Amino acid sequence: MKCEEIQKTLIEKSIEELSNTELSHINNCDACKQFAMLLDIEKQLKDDECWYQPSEYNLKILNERLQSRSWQKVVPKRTLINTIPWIAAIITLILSVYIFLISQTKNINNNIDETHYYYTDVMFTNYLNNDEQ
Amino acid sequence: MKKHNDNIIDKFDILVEKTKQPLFRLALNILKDEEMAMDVVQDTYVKAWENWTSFRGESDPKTWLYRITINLSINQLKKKQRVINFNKFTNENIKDDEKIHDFEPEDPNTIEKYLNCKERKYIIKNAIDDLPINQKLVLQLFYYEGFHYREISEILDISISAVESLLFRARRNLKLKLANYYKRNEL
Repeated sequence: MKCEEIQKTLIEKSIEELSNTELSHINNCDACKQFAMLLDIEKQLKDDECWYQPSEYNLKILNERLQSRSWQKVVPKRTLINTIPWIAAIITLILSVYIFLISQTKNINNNIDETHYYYTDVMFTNYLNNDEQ
Repeated sequence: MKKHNDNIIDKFDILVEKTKQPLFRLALNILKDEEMAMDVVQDTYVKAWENWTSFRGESDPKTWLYRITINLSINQLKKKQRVINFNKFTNENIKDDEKIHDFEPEDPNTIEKYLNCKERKYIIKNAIDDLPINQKLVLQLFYYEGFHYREISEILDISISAVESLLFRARRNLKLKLANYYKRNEL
């Protein structure tokens, strides 16, 4: 069996899936043995050294940061949702009072205008009457 | 009412205590920047707390936190890489598998000592670094964090069959990179 074939098989399969012939070749061939060791990733991927690890110092800093429980200063969304009807009610109340006050002011103005027109009309009629006389 | 709130806070505190280190490691392996990873972990808890009361518990809160961390880390990575090299980032993401090329370890002489266990892991670490992000994540979650296919599918929001195929491709690509490295440095 050629080393090249074995090395191709090692890429496709894990060591557990190899046949006895393939395993015995690997055991007797130094190059294939070294290749198999390098490609035996399943076990090695479980080790700390294969992954980036945070330094002790930064872990300590993170712990300090998390101890202040900064997230608790944030209002959970459900609480916000619960306040929406109250906020809507307050806004509606303010708007209705505002609209009521505006309409009242308008009514007073209209009354003033009507009185003004009334007096102007009476005065003009009187003027005409006086002029005729 | 106060007791109920205290209970919620206690539960969340326990979750933070259990997950802070693995989440930091996860963010660090995506971002490769401890400061940024730390910010991401903190943001994860803020985001989780915002939605904690509405969390229905359909999935494990731990997998939920992992999902938030991954999303935040990827967003940070996008921002970071947009600054460094926008074109390089888009190539990596769009054509995942097509970009299988040889990786260059920082120290080419390491092959001389590759029988040394630590050095071999160093070579593997460099090869993992060169994998597309989704393959790297699936390898970390499955082998290092010890999650099952179902949990990984929840974290990454993909189907179980997608997790299996991603894991298969990740293993194969990693072996190809290591094989190429071995052949180039064969004594």
